[in-house]
Amino acid sequence: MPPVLVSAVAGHVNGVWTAAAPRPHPQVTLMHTHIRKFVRRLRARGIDISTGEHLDALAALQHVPWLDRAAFREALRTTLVKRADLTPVFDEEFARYFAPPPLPKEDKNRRGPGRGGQMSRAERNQSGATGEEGGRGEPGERPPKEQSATSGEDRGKPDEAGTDQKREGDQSRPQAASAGQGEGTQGLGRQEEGSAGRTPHFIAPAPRETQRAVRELLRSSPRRMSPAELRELRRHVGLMARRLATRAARRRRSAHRGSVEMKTTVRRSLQFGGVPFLLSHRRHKIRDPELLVLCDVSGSVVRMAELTLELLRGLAATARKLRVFGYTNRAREVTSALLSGEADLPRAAEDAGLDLHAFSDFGGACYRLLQDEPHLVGRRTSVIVIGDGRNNHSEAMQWAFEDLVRGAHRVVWLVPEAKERWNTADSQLQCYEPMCHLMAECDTVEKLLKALRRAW
Amino acid sequence: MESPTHRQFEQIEQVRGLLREAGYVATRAICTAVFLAQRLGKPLLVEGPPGVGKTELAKACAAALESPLLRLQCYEGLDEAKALYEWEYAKQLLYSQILKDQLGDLLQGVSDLGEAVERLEQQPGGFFSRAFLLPRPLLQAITSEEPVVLLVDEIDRADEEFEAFLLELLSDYQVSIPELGTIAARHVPLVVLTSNATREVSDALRRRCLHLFIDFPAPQEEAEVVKLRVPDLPERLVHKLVAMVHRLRGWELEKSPTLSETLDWARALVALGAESLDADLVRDTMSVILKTRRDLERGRKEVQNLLKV
Repeated sequence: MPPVLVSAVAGHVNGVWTAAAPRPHPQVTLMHTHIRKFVRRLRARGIDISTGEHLDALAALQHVPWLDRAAFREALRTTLVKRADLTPVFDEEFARYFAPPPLPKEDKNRRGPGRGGQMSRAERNQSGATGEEGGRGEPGERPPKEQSATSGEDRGKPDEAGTDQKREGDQSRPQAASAGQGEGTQGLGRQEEGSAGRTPHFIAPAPRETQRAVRELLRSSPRRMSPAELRELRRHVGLMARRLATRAARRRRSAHRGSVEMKTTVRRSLQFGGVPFLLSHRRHKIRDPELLVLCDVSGSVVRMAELTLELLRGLAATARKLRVFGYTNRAREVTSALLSGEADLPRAAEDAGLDLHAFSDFGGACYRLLQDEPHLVGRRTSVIVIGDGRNNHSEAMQWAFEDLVRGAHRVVWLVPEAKERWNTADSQLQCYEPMCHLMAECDTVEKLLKALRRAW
Repeated sequence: MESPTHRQFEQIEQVRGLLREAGYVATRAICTAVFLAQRLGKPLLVEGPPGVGKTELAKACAAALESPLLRLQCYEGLDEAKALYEWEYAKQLLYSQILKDQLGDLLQGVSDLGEAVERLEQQPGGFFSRAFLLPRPLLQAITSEEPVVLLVDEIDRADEEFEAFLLELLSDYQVSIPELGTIAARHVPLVVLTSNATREVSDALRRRCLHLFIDFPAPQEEAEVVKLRVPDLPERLVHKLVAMVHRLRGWELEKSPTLSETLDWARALVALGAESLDADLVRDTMSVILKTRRDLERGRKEVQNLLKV
């Protein structure tokens, strides 16, 4: 922020910061600016915040004392973040944006303890804004104008002086260091919940850039991604999964009414002397899907398999049954470990007794699975296979797969490989293709979504 | 809108005190959310695992504010007639039967149906007046003379349409009844919605509400709850009990014990006049807290393990 602008706003700061009580008519204050920036950051992290919620947050801040950090945070959280699973993201961003005061020990003495200190800080703030030396400014350290600007910015926040540490860090740290303690860094280290101890390395880009980045992520192959990119992608896929789940629930509930049900209608008609005044309708039976997922956990495919599972996890709430099996040369159930989100796919598979280093062999895995659980697939079961169909030159045993999925409602095979590479070398996809309703290429998330949309 | 005689929360700290008096141990987050919900006049959506006291919170709020609690339990197929209002057909029919003669007098000399209808229309009140209106919780909450706490329990069980219908009510606090016109709330009720996440609550509803997530309490808080709700249990036992429950939650059980079950267990121990917790006693009373056969078997088998806290 350019210094001139801040010192222009600093006049307001005094008025607002000293007044922790509600103000009847809010003006555009520094707090508004900060909340706006903060909201922008949250949006960049994938939290959808509507304008209404933004306004709610501002309204809420009129009712809580800003100097009470916990209340301040809760007021923002309860109005801005409406999902429990996004709370960690919020906490992290909050700790980052509204960093705790960086000068704990020495400064306390100078300011006097507790709230009194905060108040007088606000007073000093004003003097800072008018260009005089502010309370903690040592004369001659830097040009007065710049200093008043940064301290105005710093002190603009509720009870956390060194707010925008990451941006202002370079400027405020020398000052703190010259106070003899190097507390600026301490302040950073003290960042509470969520990012405790970890030095933040991530500065959120503007939302539009993020959207473009996400789109790019969706289009590129996860096999070539860095761990950080992969993490980001997984988070977005998780968000999509939740949206999918809401939509699925909605579809379940539409088409509410079926044909007229005589029994209840007649009984009700007695109220009106035998006139069928109120009709009773039979409800459509909702057929909850049953899902069976077989996924290759060998290194070549596992990333895409994990992303797909992330999507399916969102659907688990609406599905009547969801069973996930990982396979290499045999198949093992990993449903509970995956749904609880405790373990990633390879770990869960290994815990379930799968040899991750065995050569993957889909046919063999099907055969053994068939022997263990012959009635795995029912009339309503939709089967999803995630794998590249590379059996390491062992026999395809398509009959085992055929037996396994016989009578299934739907069989969808998702191939995390570009179509050009299908059926090359040891890939035996063509053997399994006749048993599938759909065999789709999904080497990127975008294609995966498309395939799932086509399948259902 | 609110007259000064009605109780209001003034400060966040006060919320905590009042809730405590009502027998509810609230964390800072809960207090802030409740306080803001009342101050901003916005509904509060409470989520969390079953049995952490979401419904209790609404009850405690009602007690703290000294206002009546209206409860709407949601279920699949819940519709406006059951949630908002219904015409009392039976009463209407009955009245028209009883008043047959008077109606006859009224309609004397009428030549055709049109004229009869016209004459009936001139009568004030009539069959679609408030006398024949059966208000359900939502309408009661809105027409109430004093501010109320409205609990919409387990909103995730209701249908999507009902949720959409609720949106209108919750944002404007008014409803339209075709025969009577629009009825606006005299007092903005404190609305608490709870959800166990059996289905995702729509984003539209989330946006209109303040959000609060209540998780299982920390051991210390849980002990405090037990002390408050079951004061007869010796303090030594409280801590042991809570530690055991927390250990149980760490196991992978089919159904984790909830806070309300902790309280049940505490009450059971009081009823049995327990002085100390030994393996036999725990084994005997364990069915209060473990509710499936497999869990119970495991709990009984590993009871020594459990006591070693």
